Amino acid sequence: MQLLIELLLAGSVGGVKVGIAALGFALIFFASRELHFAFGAISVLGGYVCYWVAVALGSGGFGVVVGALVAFTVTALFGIALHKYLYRSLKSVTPVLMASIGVGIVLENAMQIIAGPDINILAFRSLTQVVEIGFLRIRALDIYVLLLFAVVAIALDLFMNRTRLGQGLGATIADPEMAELVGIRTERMRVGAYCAGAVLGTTTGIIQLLDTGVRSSNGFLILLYALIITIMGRGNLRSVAIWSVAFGIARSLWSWQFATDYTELAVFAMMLLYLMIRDYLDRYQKGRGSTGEATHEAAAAASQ
Amino acid sequence: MYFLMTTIMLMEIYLIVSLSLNFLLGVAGRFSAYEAAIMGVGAYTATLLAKNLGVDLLLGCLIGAAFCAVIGILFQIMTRYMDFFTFKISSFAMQMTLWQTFMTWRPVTKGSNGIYGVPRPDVLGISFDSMAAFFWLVTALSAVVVAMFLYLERSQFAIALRGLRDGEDALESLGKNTFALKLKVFALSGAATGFAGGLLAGLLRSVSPYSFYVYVSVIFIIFVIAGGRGNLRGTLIGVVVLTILQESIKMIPGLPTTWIGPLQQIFYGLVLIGVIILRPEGLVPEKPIISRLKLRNLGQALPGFSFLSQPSMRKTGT
Repeated sequence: MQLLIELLLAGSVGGVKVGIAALGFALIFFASRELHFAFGAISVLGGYVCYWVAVALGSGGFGVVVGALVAFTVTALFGIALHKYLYRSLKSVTPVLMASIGVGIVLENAMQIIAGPDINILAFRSLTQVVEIGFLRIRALDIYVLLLFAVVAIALDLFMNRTRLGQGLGATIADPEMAELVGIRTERMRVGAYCAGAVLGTTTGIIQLLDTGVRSSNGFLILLYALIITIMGRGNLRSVAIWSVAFGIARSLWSWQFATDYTELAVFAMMLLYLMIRDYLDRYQKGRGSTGEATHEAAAAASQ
Repeated sequence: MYFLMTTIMLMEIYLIVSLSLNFLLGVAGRFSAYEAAIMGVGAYTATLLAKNLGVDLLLGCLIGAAFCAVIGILFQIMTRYMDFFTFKISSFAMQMTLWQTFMTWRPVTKGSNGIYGVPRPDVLGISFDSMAAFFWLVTALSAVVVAMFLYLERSQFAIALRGLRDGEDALESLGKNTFALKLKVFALSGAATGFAGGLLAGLLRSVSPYSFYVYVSVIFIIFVIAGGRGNLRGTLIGVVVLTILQESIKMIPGLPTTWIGPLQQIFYGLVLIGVIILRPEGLVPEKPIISRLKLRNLGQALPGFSFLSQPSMRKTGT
């Protein structure tokens, strides 16, 4: 029982670390319908910027905070610039995908040349120390990450459902043309989504910097997990958050029962199978209804 | 001389894979990013057959190609009802799944160490063990495969595939079985890619998972995009030019060795961005099919069957 709870906790921590980036990626993807493949590299860039600023200021807590602020600004500006000057002029899905892959490759390797292939890490004793709560042993950093994710997910949910701006963003996600017609400035919403997405991605980069260290090749894995979780979430930020936790728990449960070596393999295979079964089931349900679109909309209306 | 032969062989192997990817991505419009992993499946199949069962490597390549065709068909069946984005992500997930299989299935694939000492083929008493002999073998085989693709590009099959890309519903209403077409193209490109993987194993005399990482898939995509989607001759030029440029980065004097890999990657990234911005259709764009018919002077003829999906373009274009 104790082991199970510890595993659940460790799994949620692992999932949540990816989940923050996945929420950011999902915001960008849902709002702009652009597969932003440079996202992982930009997140890692944020981690590096934070590291450089913190080292330059003398590594204390103050340096990290300033570094994080600088990193948020840099990555948000970079993301917005990419969207405004590169992606928007391309106008179509595949070219945007290709261009963002190109930007990601260039950025990742430029960072590797500048920072070297080694891991850069900022370790604080207050963060890595183990805290005991009852019979549970957990690192202080993990508690903070869990809290941060809860705050981010709940705040995002409240923002999307309770504020006017959030409703505008929701409308942009649901139907961009209609949103434009009723007077929502969809372009601004997209820029905002890029900004928020970059900040969330950078948060993951900084968590990595404080946790296991940041290196340029981490970007691709952040991107890949964020991508798959976003596709599983299907246009709904709430389900993206839930899936990222479920993903972490599935990973840790797998490593409990089976050999740890096969964890990554199992995770990717499970994701692939889930996507396949989901789309086959969709097709089956569509085929049963009299008109596919009507039942689909009815289901969507019922769920809201 | 040794270096030159290796580079040319690598170029030929990459050419086979890029042509098969262009058939998939450019002609049939199915964006897949798992070419490197399929190549790995072919390479591992050929190697394991040759090392453990004593099968000749060339026969192993053919069996590997058949196996890869089966995997391609399975993948297409899995992704049958997926939309555009989900399909792309699934192909990335497929790449990672296969790659992790190479890494973790240690009893068979030897994990990240890879398998060494792959025997080169020995056909009808002629041994291709030496570098020069193997070079001629690879050149001849890749010439056959490339010729097959160039022939297929002009066939009825490719015209049907272009229709699949540009107007799937329209093609279906003409009585074509689009799912069978997709299965065929996936099997074809999977087989060619797996065959190339077997040749790569013979060239390097070893297989390791690092030759088949997802970056390699991305580089194949760059070859296709830079050369020109839907035009196989463009891919031919793209592979040759980009490989020569990539190899010439190594020749820059005074470059630290740790910079070579990243600089090559940056070069590919810049090529991709540059092509997308400056010449989105690629170096050698696809020619409109309609120009081969009577409407040769239709000024606004569009590549392939794009008029199917955009019916208004024909009227407004004149």
